[in-house]
Amino acid sequence: MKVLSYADFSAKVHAASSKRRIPVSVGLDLTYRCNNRCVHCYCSLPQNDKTAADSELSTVEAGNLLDELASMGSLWLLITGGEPLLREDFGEIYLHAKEKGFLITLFTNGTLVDEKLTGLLSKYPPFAVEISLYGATKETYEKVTRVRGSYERCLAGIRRLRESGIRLNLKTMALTINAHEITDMDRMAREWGCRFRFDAAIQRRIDQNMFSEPERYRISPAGVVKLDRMFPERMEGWREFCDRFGDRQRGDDDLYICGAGQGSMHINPYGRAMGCIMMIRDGFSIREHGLSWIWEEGIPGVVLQKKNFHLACDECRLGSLCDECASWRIVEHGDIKKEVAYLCEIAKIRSRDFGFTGSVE
Amino acid sequence: MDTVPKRSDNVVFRKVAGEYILVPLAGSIADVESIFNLNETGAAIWDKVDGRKSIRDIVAEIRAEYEAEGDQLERDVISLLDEMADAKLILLQ
Repeated sequence: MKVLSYADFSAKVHAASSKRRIPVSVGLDLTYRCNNRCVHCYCSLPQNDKTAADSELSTVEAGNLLDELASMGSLWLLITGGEPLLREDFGEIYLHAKEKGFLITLFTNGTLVDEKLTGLLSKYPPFAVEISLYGATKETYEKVTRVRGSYERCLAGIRRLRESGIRLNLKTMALTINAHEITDMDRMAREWGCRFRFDAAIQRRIDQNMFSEPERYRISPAGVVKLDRMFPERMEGWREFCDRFGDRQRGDDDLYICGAGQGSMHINPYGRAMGCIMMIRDGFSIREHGLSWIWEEGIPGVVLQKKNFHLACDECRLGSLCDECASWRIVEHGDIKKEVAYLCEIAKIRSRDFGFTGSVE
Repeated sequence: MDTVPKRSDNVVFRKVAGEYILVPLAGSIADVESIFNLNETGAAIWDKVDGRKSIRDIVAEIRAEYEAEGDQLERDVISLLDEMADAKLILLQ
């Protein structure tokens, strides 16, 4: 019996999974309902939205889904939402996933972390818990969440998890209204012994609801790059990424270039499975199709499509600095043929400021 | 050889992308920094650990399946079961 380091094992399995098309990594949204009302959220619904709750996978459906995923070779399971802890059956679903041997990461806003939950997570540890911290101060945090008292509840959740010895990471979305506190959030995370990361690529909502307007809170492209430069580790990450994938041109005829749907998939609260969370037009209901058909036929039919139109991006050599993809285009414009100017601008500024890759064609 | 190994309730066996692994569920062995990885023979041995078969039974079945002769197989099976017991993946009773 070999005892492999986690990093070695993970690299080995991920390399094998894409070649053999095994869904080793799965994201599962348990609900889109949330007790916060974050200004930038791409999916949140009110926590008491009964129509949404009634449409979500039942406990039994979620259990059957986990059984089927395990039999298909899935190992890494991201439980997210919405706020997954709003589900009254969260503990039951979590335990079911543990018993099937998944390595579970839980994304939560932290405000509902109570002693019952830390008891469960202490006894049956997740791979990690990640909490979104939306500000270093109460004023900023609650400007984002729009819920009074949420800051204190989030900090209490963080404290309970830390005291229970559960592996905890913190993260945030960098927004116009909290970017000035990113370095303070990073410092707080370090003081608490947590890893911290942030993302500034704010996507639009994946539905037509108006509970939030994420695009209004995007930092300017120059501001995004300015944030990159404030964090040496982040700059080093970009440097390594560019060394590995730099000067990447998107001239091939694949519609999807990121590898989604090859070794991973995402399943929304209503049982629609897709290559990634942003493939909003191309999901397949597990209530109508078997999961194995979706994985073997449905998703490949989407992610292996060829591109039969021309994009300005086709000649651009900044692919490794840019988040742009077919799914982003659909979520941004509802038009797969229209580039996302915001991401393009960020990539150009990164290229110019970092000096990592060649010129923009 | 008459000892009967029993799987810990805290471990799940999984085959993922061609790799046979034992995933701890709970308590002190739920250490995500390391993964217990079995080869095909190890997986076959794990499959026979059912709380009823003795080590002698397991050796005999593996010997028959792999058409192996000599003492080496017995030593390998015992060595693997000892490792699993040390890692609290099985109980030797």
